[in-house]
Amino acid sequence: MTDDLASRIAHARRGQAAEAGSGGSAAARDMTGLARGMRIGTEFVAAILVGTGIGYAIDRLAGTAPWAMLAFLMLGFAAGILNVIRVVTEMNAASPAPPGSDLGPEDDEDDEER
Amino acid sequence: MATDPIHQFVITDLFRLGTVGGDGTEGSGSSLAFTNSALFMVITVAVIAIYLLASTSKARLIPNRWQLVSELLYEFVANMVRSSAGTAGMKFFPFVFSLFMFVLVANFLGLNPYFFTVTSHIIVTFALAMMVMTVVVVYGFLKNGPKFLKLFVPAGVPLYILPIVTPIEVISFLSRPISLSVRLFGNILAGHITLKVFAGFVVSMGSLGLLGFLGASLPLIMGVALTGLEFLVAGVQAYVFSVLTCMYLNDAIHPSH
Repeated sequence: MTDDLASRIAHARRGQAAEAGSGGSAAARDMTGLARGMRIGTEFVAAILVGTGIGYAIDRLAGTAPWAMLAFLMLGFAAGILNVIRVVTEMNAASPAPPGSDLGPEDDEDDEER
Repeated sequence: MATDPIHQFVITDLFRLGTVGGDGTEGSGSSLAFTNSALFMVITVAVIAIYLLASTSKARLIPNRWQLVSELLYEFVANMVRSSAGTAGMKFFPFVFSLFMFVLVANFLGLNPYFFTVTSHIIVTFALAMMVMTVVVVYGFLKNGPKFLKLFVPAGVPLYILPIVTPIEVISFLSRPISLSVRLFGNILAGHITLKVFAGFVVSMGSLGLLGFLGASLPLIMGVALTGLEFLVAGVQAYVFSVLTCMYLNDAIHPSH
């Protein structure tokens, strides 16, 4: 009985030590589909809004309307895509595909070389 | 009429505290008042404080139910901080736990009929998000100095692309408080409006005679289902808010992608 407890304590300690170094990966583990969708959507929209807002402020200060706003709209769009890619990468890392699922053809990388 | 779905978000002054600024005439300056929103923030904090103090004051080795729930909450948040921000992030545990409990209890209190939902106003969630970002920026600079700016310069990017990549990273960073606050506010606002609209259908259909009375059972079923969903959303959004807080704190502790 005590051996069992000791092994369980050792197991828990190992788990904690493994978790201690890593950061960020296990975060998006148990979210519902709705929460995931909302997360991706708001990350995307927020970046576009912030980018456009910065451009608008520059236009107001420098009187260059509408060019800074257009440029920063594009940058905001890029930042939104970047945000989405980060979120999805992190979600994928948190929940790997179940074994045996169809992940498409394996030789995707080879296509670029041809 | 009580069926106005937006009416539940109206802020009313409970008592005036005085005015700031202005020239002394009526209506000038900004008035400071203790609003219903402030009242429910106080209630939220009071509920959390009384509950946690009462459940842990006579702590026993074998916990009773109340103490068990407090310990589960502690473990839940502690594991979240450890897995997202590493052991170095545990110094932020009190901050994250306070945020989590505030959002969670405010969401759950708001689900009671006739209660005001604090988190359904974007200024409240935005203030919480800005608090998080202030902690991230201040601690990031204190701990890492100028190296904190490496966050905006991804490693391994060629020099000639940096003028494009850095603004994108800066915008991406600045969008965090917006997305953090809009997500919580949007979920709570949308949920409460939907619930109110379906509840309004029940009343207006029920007044249309027997057929309407039978038809009113459909939105009633929806209303019951939505109430369950809203409890889920209230919990999940508090969780998401604090998980993202941990991840942003992780950036301040280890500023490299």
